[in-house]
Amino acid sequence: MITYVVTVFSLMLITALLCISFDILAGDLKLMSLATPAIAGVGAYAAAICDVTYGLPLPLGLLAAIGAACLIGFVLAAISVRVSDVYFLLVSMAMGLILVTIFDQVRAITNGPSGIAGVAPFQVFGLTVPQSGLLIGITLLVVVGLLVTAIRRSYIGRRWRALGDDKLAATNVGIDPKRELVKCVVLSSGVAGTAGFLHAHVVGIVDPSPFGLQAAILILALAVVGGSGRVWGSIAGASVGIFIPEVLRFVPLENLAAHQSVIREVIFGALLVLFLGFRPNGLLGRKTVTQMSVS
Amino acid sequence: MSYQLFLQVLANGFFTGILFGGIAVALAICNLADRSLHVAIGSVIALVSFFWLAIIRSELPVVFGFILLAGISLIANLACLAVYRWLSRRGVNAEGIVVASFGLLIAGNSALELIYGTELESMRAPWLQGKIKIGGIRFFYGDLIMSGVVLSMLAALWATLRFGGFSLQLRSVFHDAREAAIAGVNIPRIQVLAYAFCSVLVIIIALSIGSRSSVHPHMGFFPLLIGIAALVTGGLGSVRSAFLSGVAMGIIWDFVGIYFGTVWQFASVFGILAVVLLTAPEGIFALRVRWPRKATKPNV
Repeated sequence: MITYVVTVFSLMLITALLCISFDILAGDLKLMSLATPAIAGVGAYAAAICDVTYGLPLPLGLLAAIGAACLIGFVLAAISVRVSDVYFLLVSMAMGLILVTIFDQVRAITNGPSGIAGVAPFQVFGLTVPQSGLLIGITLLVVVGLLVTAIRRSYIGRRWRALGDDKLAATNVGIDPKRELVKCVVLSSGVAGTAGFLHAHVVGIVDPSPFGLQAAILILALAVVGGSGRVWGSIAGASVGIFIPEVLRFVPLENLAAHQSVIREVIFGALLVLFLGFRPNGLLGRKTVTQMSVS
Repeated sequence: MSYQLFLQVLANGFFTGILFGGIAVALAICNLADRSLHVAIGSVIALVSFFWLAIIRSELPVVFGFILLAGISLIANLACLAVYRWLSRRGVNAEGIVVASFGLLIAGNSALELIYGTELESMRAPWLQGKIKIGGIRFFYGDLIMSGVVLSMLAALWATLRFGGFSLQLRSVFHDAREAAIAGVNIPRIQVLAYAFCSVLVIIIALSIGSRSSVHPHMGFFPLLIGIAALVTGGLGSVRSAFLSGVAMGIIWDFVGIYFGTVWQFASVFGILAVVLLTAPEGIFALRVRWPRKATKPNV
């Protein structure tokens, strides 16, 4: 039972990192990316290759995961500087689909649909494997959360919010939208790469299936439900997304437990629409300047 | 590659392209009416297919079955429109409405999966699998019939847009809804008419996809993605561009499938989308070559 609970918490931490990655773009620049899980997949594959093929230590694997994800993020940003809003969503969706196809087909590197197995689990301070994974996950989440919060409170974050609120006005005061877009996308990708690194070592196998478009839409739904603009909002969304389906397992209805992943998608699809209409800030999102002045 | 195979793939790609073009036109009509991407059309396609299967198995008269199907498609699409309009009144922007549409898509597909399960169902009628050979190229009856119906519908749409006032009203709503309302255009009526047309197109698309492959809850998802790629590649705001782009995508889809394998089909289509967005974001068929005007003498 303890192993099960610890594993569920570890999955929640991975999802929270993905939601933070999505929210860096959506909360500040108001750009929605459907490539977040695919970029996390790049990080996961980099971490898996470093561990399984080359036997590198964990810190180097983490650096490789973040570096690979940032590189892909830079490519996405370079492609996207000419487009915005809905077109950015479509370009990111295109990139996500292309990346998953590459994961599936470039067997020499990724081993195709079978994936890369045998990724070493975390084991630190004499703790058991699941508990080590949880400890590393919490550490990474705290570090990423503090970093993202610090950046948001700095002049960089203010520039991003200015661009997100009114691009024309922000450009007129001297903020370069292209440069800030590249910085934001690269940071978001780095966080996604961290999530991929955690996924590789917690799950132990990296294959293309968790990084597709369905996962991207689910992350989008969780980020909207949790609330944009704040790290706590992303954690809230991830908690709701992981814990509610797990609670359904214990409901004494056979069909309900068997279809919990499908029921989760129905619930979150509906919640996405309801939250957009009734509570666009989500559970713990940041209020806009207009909302704060009205209240 | 033999010339015969080339022509066969071209013919198959053309029919595939008409299907993708139909989806792109349905999306284009909805986009003209409310500036949103009606992504939830993917789950409406699956819903219509499952209802058609139920109608066939219940042995209802075909005419009555079609009327029922039209009603179901219309209700589903108008329900989505009602959600978009509600969100718009709540101050949600166009991008947020696209996100909500994705929410409706995953909720709808998952609800269908809960009800019907994930087993693949077959809608193929034996008579649709018959074929004829013209000039060494094989044509299936199913492809010919479905393409004929889609093209007829698009011809009717073209006539409506060309000779009626609907086109002007639709364009005015697309370019500036507020100004259109001031000018007296009944925007809710225009939107309902656009989604009603989309509903009829959805029935044909659903039956076409179901007869070509199989019926399952996620059957509309991947054709929808191609339709979105075709719509954006052709250029938002133009029905003709969306259709032409869909046909082109269909031909590319089949050629890539034959030469490079089916797994590269999506990557090729979306790679083209990314290239077009980089180089011509307004769409490739929206590009116009302007000839220099002759200088006219001033009328002194």
